[in-house]
Amino acid sequence: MKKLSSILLISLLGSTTFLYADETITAEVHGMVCEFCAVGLEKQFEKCDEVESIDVSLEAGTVKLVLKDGQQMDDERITKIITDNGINVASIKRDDAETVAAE
Amino acid sequence: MGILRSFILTLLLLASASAFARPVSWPGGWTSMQRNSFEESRLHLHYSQNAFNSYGLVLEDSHQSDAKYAGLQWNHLLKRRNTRYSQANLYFKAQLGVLDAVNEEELAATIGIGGDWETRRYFTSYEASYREADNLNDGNFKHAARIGIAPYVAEYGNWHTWLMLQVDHLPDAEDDVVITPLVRLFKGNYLFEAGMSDEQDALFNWIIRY
Repeated sequence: MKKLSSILLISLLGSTTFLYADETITAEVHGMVCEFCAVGLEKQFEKCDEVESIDVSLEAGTVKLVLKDGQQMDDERITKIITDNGINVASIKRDDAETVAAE
Repeated sequence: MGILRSFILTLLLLASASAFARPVSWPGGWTSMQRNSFEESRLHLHYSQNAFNSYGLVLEDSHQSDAKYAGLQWNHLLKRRNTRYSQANLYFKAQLGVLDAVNEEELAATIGIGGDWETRRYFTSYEASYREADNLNDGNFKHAARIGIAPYVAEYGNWHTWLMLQVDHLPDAEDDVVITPLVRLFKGNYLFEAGMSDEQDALFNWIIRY
C-alpha cells in the first residue's frame, strides 16, 4: 500500500507543471493630469525592488504594476508612495498571483 | 484700448494659477528651469524635499532695470485638489537674496502666491509676487496669468503640445501690460516654451526634472 501511494504521488508530480504568474496591481489615481505627475510616480515605483515593470496611463488614470515572481506589495505601501507624490488613490485592484496546475 | 485693457486686467484677476510651472516636484526630485522674457532672464535650481516643499537657488538678470539678483527660494504647496480629470494647486513662495540694483548690493525679500488648475485639455494659472528692497524704485509688485489649451490630448510618453496666452502686468513699468502667445512642448522630464510678446520680445523657457 505504501509503495502504491509513493508511485501515485511521483506520477502526479511528474505529470503536473506549476506555473506562477506575476502579480499585476492596478491603482486608479486622481490628479495625474500631466507628464511630470506621471514621471514622478514612475520614478518612485522604479525604486521598489518588488516591481518588475510599471505602466502609467494618463488616459485611463491608472498606474499598473507587475511584481517580480514571489514579491508582494500591500495596498498601504502603494497608497503611501502615490499620495507622497501628491496624487490621490481612488482604488487598487489586483490580479491575484495565480498558481495554475496544467496537465 | 480701454476695453482691451479691462479685458486683460479682468483675465488677470479671474484666472487662477502659477504663470510658469509647478514649483514643487516629486520627493527627492531636482528641477532646473530657465525663463527668458521681455522682463528678465531667470534661472532656478530646486530640490523637492517632498510633494509640499522645495528649496532652491534663483538667479535673475532684469531686462527692465539692469538689476541682478541672487536668492534662496522656498516653495510651499498650501493646497492641492485632485479629481479624476483635474488638478488644482495653491502655492506660497518666499525668497531672500541680494539685489544689485544701482551698483549697490542690498538685501531683498520677496513673497509670492501662485495657483493653477489644469486638465489634460485646459490650463489656467495666476502668480503674483512682491519684492521689498531699500533702493528698489519700481517692480515691487507684479503678477501674471496664463490660459492654455491642448489641441490634442496625448498619452504619457508622447509629445504634448499646448497653445497658451500669457499676460504680465507690471504696474510700475513703462509697458505695464504685456501679452505673450506661446507654444509649450512637453515630454517626460522635459518642457520647452517659445513665444513672442506684443512688444516683439521673445520668450523662451525650459524645465528639466530629474
